[in-house]
Amino acid sequence: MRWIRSFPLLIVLIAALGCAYTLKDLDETYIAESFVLGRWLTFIRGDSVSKDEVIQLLGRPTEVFEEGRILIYRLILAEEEIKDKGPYSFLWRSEYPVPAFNDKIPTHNKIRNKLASQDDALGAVGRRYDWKLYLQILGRQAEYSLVLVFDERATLRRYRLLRVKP
Amino acid sequence: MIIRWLYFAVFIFSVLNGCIYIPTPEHGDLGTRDRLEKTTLDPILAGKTTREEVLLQLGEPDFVDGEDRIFVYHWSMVVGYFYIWPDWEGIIPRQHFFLIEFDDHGNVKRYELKEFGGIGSLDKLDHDRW
Repeated sequence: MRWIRSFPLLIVLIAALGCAYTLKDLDETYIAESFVLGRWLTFIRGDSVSKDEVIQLLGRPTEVFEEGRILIYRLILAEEEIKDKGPYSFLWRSEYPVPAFNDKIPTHNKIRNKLASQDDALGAVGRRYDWKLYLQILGRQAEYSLVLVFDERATLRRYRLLRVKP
Repeated sequence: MIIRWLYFAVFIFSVLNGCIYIPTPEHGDLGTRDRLEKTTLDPILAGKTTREEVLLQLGEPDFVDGEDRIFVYHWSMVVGYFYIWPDWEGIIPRQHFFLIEFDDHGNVKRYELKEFGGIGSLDKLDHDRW
């Protein structure tokens, strides 16, 4: 009956394995703010970026504060299987609040991607055309808040990309 | 020995009454924004921090009042699980709200972190009376 005494230990080990497996999946390299900025939004790092340029490239902002001095874009990074082309990752500008990505509820994610993709995608990466870029396709998906602050001449003064949802 | 176990079983079943509640530390996400950590909220100070700084620090609010005077950030966490015999199970959520009010100059006037259990929404928060 010695095995009965070690039963709690077995439960703890199984639970720990579950945790380890989950953590292994959480490779955040490609959803880190710095990576997303460098991969998808390099233009905002340039000198004298004007508000017009930003709106031309990103479209209508999700939120506007202080009479247009501060613009916010809700950006969704998502991956979807494209027929005959394989998985693509997209950066979407979404005007609609969308639920966070949840790898346990695929239906939920389909709704999420459908909601997010009602606006134009800002960019896409597919493995068929560039294997190196495919390697950068996300293991997970994320939502960001891009905050852009302009000066009185409508030139970009400060910005920050924040990951707000997993 | 068997009698003792029987008494124990009767006691346990009468207490549980077909329901098991397993409390856990806060974890997971329920489709809302990620938790705002204390370190993220610490730099926000009444009378000093501006609306611009709040937005750069926290991102897009989940709710904004008509005149940009009140921002609300909301996130939900799992704080436990329940099981009711025979086959009803689920999570026990806790709602967190970070409310900020700005003055006429766009500086933080006051802020508060509120939380309550259960399935919640901004309606339940009743920010108008905050």
